[in-house]
Amino acid sequence: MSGNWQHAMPTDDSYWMGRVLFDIHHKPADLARYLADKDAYLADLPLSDALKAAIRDNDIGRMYQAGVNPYLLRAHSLGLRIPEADFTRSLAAIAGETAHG
Amino acid sequence: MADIVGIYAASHTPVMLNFPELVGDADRDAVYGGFVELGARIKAADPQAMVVISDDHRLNFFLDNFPAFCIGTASRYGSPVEHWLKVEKRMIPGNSGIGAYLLDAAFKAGFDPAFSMNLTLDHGTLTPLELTRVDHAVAVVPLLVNCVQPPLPTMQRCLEWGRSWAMPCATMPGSIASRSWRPAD
Repeated sequence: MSGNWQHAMPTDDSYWMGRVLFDIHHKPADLARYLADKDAYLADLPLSDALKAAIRDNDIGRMYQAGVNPYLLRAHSLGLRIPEADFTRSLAAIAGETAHG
Repeated sequence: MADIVGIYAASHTPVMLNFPELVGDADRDAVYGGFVELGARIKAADPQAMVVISDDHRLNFFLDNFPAFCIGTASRYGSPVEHWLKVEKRMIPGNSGIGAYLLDAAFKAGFDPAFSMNLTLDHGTLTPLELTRVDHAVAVVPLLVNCVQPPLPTMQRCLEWGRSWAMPCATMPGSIASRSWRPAD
């Protein structure tokens, strides 16, 4: 696998994490519900508490490690206006820990 | 028969639309000026339609159903799909006739692309159309190739598919190329 992606084939975790990012940036009602109460939005998803926390806390590096597609992470960052410095800092923090750079 | 009047390649990074201030004046003038020049060449070639080969950044497609190749067969396309892209929402004219023709040609050549009549085009298609200022001037036929979500089609398969278009494009009846929706219709 190249350095762009963690998995040659998405895992269940990366599907559901990606599902959240896809839905909140395609459905205005989902984005409003997510921003109003992130924990409530994530509550029923089949994800561990640690992965739900990674989404809730905008932990870009952790989401990337868990296999979320980098294009979704980039769109998520732009969609939630996550500062560019925070985005790159989060990825830099996990450099060397990832499976493929 | 249809004529191929031009073939062009360009970047589509959304940074060009969202953060034009991030580069220095000289680079910015060179990049945006280059797109304007490209647009002038396209308009001078006066195409009836433009086949735009790009990718979908997991915005139309998701892991529920992710085609390796998809041909747009609609007569118009909304764009952009991204709420965060700093560009005006618009309808882009499409050429459903060429889309259907290329789809049929692909099947006859042994390829099995998906097709869609309900694409909302993302920055991958819109950015060059916006910067060249041809988004309302020429009907498009989107050809989307998955290069963002593994497993990916092989480069060999992409090359073979691309080569398979040469004959259909050259032999396409002119009456097909002229069928397109325009905003004023």
